[in-house]
Amino acid sequence: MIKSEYVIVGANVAAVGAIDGIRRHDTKSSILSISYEPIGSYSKAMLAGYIEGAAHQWLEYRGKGYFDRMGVKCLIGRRVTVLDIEKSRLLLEGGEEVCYKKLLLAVGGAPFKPAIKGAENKELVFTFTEFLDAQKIRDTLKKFNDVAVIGAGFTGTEIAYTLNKLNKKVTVVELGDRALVKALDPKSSEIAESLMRDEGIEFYLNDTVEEIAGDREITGVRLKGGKVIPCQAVVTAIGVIPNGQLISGTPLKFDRGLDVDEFMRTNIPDVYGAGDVVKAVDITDGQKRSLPLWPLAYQQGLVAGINMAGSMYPYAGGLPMNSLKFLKLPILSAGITTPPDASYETLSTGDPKNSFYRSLVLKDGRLKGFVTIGAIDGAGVLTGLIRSKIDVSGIKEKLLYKKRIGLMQLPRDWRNKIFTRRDETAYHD
Amino acid sequence: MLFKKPQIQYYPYIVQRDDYRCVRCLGCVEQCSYDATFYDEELDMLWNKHEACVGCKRCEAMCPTDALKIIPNPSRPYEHQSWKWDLVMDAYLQANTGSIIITGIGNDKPYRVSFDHLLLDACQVTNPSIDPLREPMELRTFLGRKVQKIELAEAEGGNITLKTRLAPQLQLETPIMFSAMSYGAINLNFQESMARAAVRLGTYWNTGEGGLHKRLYPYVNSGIVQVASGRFGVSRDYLKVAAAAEIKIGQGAKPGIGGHLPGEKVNPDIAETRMIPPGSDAISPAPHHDIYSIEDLRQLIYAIKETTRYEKPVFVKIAAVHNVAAIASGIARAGADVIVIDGFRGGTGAAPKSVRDHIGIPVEVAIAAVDRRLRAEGIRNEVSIVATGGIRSSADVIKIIALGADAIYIATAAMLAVGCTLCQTCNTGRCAWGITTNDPRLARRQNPDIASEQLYNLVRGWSHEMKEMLGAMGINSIESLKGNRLRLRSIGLTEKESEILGVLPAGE
Amino acid sequence: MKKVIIIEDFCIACYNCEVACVATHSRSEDPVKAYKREGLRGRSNAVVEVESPVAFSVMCRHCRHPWCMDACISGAIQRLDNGIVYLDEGRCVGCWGCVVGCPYGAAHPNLTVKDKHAFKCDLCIDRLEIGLKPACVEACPNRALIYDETMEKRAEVHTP
Repeated sequence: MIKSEYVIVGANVAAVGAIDGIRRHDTKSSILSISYEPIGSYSKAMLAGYIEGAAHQWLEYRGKGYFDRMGVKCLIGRRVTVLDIEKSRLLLEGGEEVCYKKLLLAVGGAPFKPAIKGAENKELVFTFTEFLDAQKIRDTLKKFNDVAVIGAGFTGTEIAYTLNKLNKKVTVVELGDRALVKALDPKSSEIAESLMRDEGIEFYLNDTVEEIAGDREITGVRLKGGKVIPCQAVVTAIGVIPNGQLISGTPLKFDRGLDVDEFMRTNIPDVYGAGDVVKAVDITDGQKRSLPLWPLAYQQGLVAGINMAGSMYPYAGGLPMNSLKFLKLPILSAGITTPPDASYETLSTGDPKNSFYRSLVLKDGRLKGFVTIGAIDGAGVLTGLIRSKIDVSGIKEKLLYKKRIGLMQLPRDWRNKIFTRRDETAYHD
Repeated sequence: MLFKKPQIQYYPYIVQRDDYRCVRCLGCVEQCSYDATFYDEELDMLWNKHEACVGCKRCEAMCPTDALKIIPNPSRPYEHQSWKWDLVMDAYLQANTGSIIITGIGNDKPYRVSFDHLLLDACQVTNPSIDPLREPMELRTFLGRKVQKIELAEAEGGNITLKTRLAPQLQLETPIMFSAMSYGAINLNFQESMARAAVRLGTYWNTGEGGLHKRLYPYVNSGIVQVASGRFGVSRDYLKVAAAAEIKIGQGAKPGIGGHLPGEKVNPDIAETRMIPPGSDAISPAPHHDIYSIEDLRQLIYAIKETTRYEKPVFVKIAAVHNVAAIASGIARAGADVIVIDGFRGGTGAAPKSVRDHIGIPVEVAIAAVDRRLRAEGIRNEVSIVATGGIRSSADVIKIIALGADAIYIATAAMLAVGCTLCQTCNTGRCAWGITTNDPRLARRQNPDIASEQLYNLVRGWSHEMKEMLGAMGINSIESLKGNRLRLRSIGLTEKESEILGVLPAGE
Repeated sequence: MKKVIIIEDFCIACYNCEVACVATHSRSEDPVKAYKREGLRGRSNAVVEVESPVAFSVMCRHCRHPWCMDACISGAIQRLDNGIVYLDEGRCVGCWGCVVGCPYGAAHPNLTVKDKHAFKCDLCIDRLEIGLKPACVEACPNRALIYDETMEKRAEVHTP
């Protein structure tokens, strides 16, 4: 039996955040991190690079010695099978028992897999969320030339772009009427789509895959619209949903995400949650929802860690931020990019060649979201404006038209506090 | 567009740019306040409109890669012994504009500077010189009316007390003060710098005629407030809070001329300080309209003394003009505690060039004449004499004190300490060094933290040098040098000039 | 922690901080070579913003909770033990997470195709180690940039 003060299920970014957080206040107690994945603490956002041929060490974003340096014991490649809340223990595959005083569930998300006819028992049907997926794709790259990607969201476009770069013929099928519907507004979707079309990626919108044809080898996919696209591989990248596998059957509250309060506590004392598995506050509208995004996972982990070590430090809420790094033109967005109702105001500008585009979404004079393409330097100032909820109605034109956004337009007092005072940044500034 | 009026092409300065060294940081574009530098985005080049350059050298000083040099245009008008190039340019300019040529700073004409024809004495063998690093050396001096004799009384217990009531005195730790430059003519940051430096040096600064800004109240114990013909900012409190008050009759750079701060420069802050409506012209008439005689002046002096309960010395400042000695005698008799004589090389924020360059006399001559006259009349002790307008170094200070001054004011030297390059465009209000401007973009170029240090350093350096020179002469106190013309010899001056200065020629 | 304090009242928009920054972070440590031979134009970590009469230079604030670090997917941005938020350009994959995360616009994208990565102020860590001040502070001719602990005690100075 293993005993540890702190036990973290998961070893990825939320876990790293938690370790950073715990060690800020508690440098002595034992920490144990358990992950079923073959490598610890790697960057999921860089998996595309791994498929392209980078070494897996490159993915380890805190470096090899991180866990040792922080005094953290790791059980890598071990799966937790049972969570026994009542006895404060976990059972590992093989029956080993782990006892905890404080537990963090950072088990992440699972790829959403729609039921598609003919998807079972085929080697070249992939998902793309974790290292093992990437490894599978990388190992079988030689076995296919044409590939269909289901879903034109963030991961869908990224894997499509990556495979296209590796000289595969890529077709993207999307149920919605445009690509990247969550992250972008219609016009910027159009720009992103045309950038990908320019690279040779084909898009089928308003459509979905009904059947994956072929016996063991895939021969193609048949769309609902009737069209058949010949291919040898399929990647489903529709999205990630909170992974409730371990949680079901426990008294933990779980409804499309593990429910946590502002201190990242679950409904059970001494059990915390962070990362893609939880649903936490989205500051754009104050609602709790699952936002499977990298920076938020880290922040939630950090807040959870700080609180597990005995503090009461609130999580200020997450802001969806996206960055499309792989395209020719950089595309950044944050917050609400497509206004849900008429109470929002939308401003946009761009040049005819689509090398620059920017749109801002405001409500009651406050910035709620933006997209910027081409000119991205200083875009973080806009993110900061969303967070700080400063009235921008007087400066919105400048925020829209100035290519490089700076602090010049912000209130002098606010700016000078940043310039001259002691650092007081927190997640609520 | 290439067209321009003829003769503009003979502009005086060229901005020479080493295009390889230029890294296009665009600093020079921002620094130039005369729109002589601009960036061409299409060509990715920096261009200069040479004819707009005034030669202030700001861009040269700020260029991080030393890519810029401001050089005299070799093709500026040909000159001969009579028609110097600037006279030719002035003629061209006036033919184009038909107006008075206004300029700044001080007289730049090559009149003889008597300072440069005076030599100091030193001790050898028969009397010992003094090492100021080893022995006490005093630069402290007092400004104000001195009594003929003092009476002492013995109190109970044997303590000696002073029976005579002394007139108010200013105590100076070094006989160098900062001269009058008004808020409006110069910017507040620079004025604050002088005030801070004066406090630190144990000497005094002068508000000029533009009133006392509320930000400078902390330094007012070392401040001399000015009462000029426009009476800007003058109130009972203004007179009472300061260390002394100064009635300004005239200014060395423009004797007989008033002042004019155009309305567009009178921003709300200046307006409040001057106590006039924002945007209105601040006009200082040429004469004080209530002073037409020595008796009138006496009335104003005593009005101020009454207001300040006879606790503050009253200064009267005049320009050095032909019969300065007689005027000074009148001022002394009118009750002034200190007479300030401003020589014709003194500076100005704006003056007609014809006036600046041709009216008045040098301060060293004026001081010698005034000192002699007051001594002859037996009233030298009733006033202190402050010399200003053309004092350029510690040696000038020593020489003018030996000629009879009690202390001096510096202004141009103070501006040099904070960057002035004598480009003579103070009148434009676009001083690229942020000295003679209140444009908020330019005024921020004077950081009082830096400028006050620079000013402090300058005066400290001069003071050290003065101690060395005094030591060489075997004198251990600046008071012992006052009017001590025997320690001066002239060289290269005519007999008459030496006689007026009251010094013997070298070798005699 | 000491950092670069920005006194916006005294910034004169001379761009000396930018040039000093570029030169210090170049191979040759010479401004002309850095701009002309090493192609580092536009690569200053300090950026001067000018809208006359206001001007100021902005560089990383080295936050205690750096948003840029949270958003960094490659681990290139880390907060060192001395408080410096350091971006290892060699590990940066150019995802621009820091660019969209930093509320002060102090993490910049280098968008040139060859060398796509972000860059930001490292507080001149190499200079600090040998007892020098950050290059921008040393280059500032008007003390608009100060390397200091805090401004709390200093009275604010304003130009009208």
